[in-house]
Amino acid sequence: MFKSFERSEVSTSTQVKASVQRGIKSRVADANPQITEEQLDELLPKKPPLVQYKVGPHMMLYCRRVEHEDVSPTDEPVFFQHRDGPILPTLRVIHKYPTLNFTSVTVDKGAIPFILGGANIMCPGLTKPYQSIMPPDGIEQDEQGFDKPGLSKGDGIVIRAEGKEHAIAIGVMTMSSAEIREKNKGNGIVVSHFLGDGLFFADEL
Amino acid sequence: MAEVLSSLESIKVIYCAKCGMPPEYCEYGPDFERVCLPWQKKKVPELYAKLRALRGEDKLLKGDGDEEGDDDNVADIKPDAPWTTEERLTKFYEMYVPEKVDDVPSLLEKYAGKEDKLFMALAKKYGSEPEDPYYMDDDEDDDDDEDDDDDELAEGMDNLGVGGKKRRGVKAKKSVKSETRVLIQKVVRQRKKATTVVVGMDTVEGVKLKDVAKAFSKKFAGSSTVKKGVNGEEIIIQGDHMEDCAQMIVSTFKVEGSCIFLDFNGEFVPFK
Repeated sequence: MFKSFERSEVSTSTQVKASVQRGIKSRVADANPQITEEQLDELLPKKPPLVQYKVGPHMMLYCRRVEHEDVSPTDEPVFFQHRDGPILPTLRVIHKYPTLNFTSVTVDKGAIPFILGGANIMCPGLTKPYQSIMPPDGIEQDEQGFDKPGLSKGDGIVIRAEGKEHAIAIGVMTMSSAEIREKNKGNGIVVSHFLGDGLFFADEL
Repeated sequence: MAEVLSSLESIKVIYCAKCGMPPEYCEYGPDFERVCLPWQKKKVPELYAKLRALRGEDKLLKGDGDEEGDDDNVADIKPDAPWTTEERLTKFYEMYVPEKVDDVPSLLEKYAGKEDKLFMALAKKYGSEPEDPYYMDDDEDDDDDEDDDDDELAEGMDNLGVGGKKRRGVKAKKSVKSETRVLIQKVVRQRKKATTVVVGMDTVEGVKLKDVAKAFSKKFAGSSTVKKGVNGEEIIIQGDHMEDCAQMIVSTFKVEGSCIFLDFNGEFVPFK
């Protein structure tokens, strides 16, 4: 979705109302039960409020204002949302706060170059058994690398790569995790934001 | 990090100054060995060692020479630093007049500060100098490696924006550089009506044929379509716009004038 995103593509920016921000917070917390409330409060402080940017007709970027000493403040994207889809964190945020435990899956190493080109995640990349991968901290996983109790269709998810420390992409599930295991074919996750896309390089607006 | 920390901890993430990715993903970029690897070596040596060990392990596990494995080999052979002036001179003499190698220190003293002249004179006398393996993939051949560091960094920053557009991942290595060649012809329909046919716009990098056609139709106020012809995709514009069209391709799509050919009665004349 952000493959060719440019800084100039954002149209309007508005400050997010406190109630909306609470809504965002609760949605993120619901989707990622591992994240504690204190962490979220720190990530999204009440003051200064978030800034919302519209990108194209259906994309929203929630940004945090960053003050600079010498230049005017800039906005750092923290979350994005497509239509009414899940509210997803940007990769830079995930990298910056390693203790934030977003729900994540790990893909096979062979899939990395394709993901970096913006491809969606195919099921076999998710179900291929791993030999040496430790499950990400704090999440209980079954033998296939899926989080218990399993994800359902439409859930947002952070995608990590086998043997890599940093998350590689953010996507939305197109099947439930049970279905992925059963079918083991075709698109499992639609990638909406990946390393090296326009949003990744737009570290501030 | 077994337990979930209650408070938020932020770290400063190291991103490759060359390609903007986390260093562990550099290897999938287009210029890994040439650009990212030297950067890693210089700026984040610990990380470099760690990543290298990781890749080395992978090789053992897999045991076959896949694409990444090959990269490693190239990287391993490469020396850590470019030659010093002395080494450079020594290599030169070893190549052409081995018996004079011993004179190198005295020569260096004599030509201190004027090394460039020395090398030029030598190259004139004996032939081109041996290539430094450090710069093997690099086209720039400067011998002072201290002060170009900052330039490189700045260059890297400049490239960042472009880097986003560069192909990454699987396609990075696949991309074949095709030769740009655009041919503009005039085809007469009826006595006074003509169309301009542009062949080869698909060899121009970074443009979409449809967008090009649209730009033409806007500029020349006539219809313009993309059609499949004998020589691949061609753009057909209403009216005779050969010269204007060539001019526009040069100015708008940044194509070298020498790559554009105008067809005058079967004769291909380069535009400029």
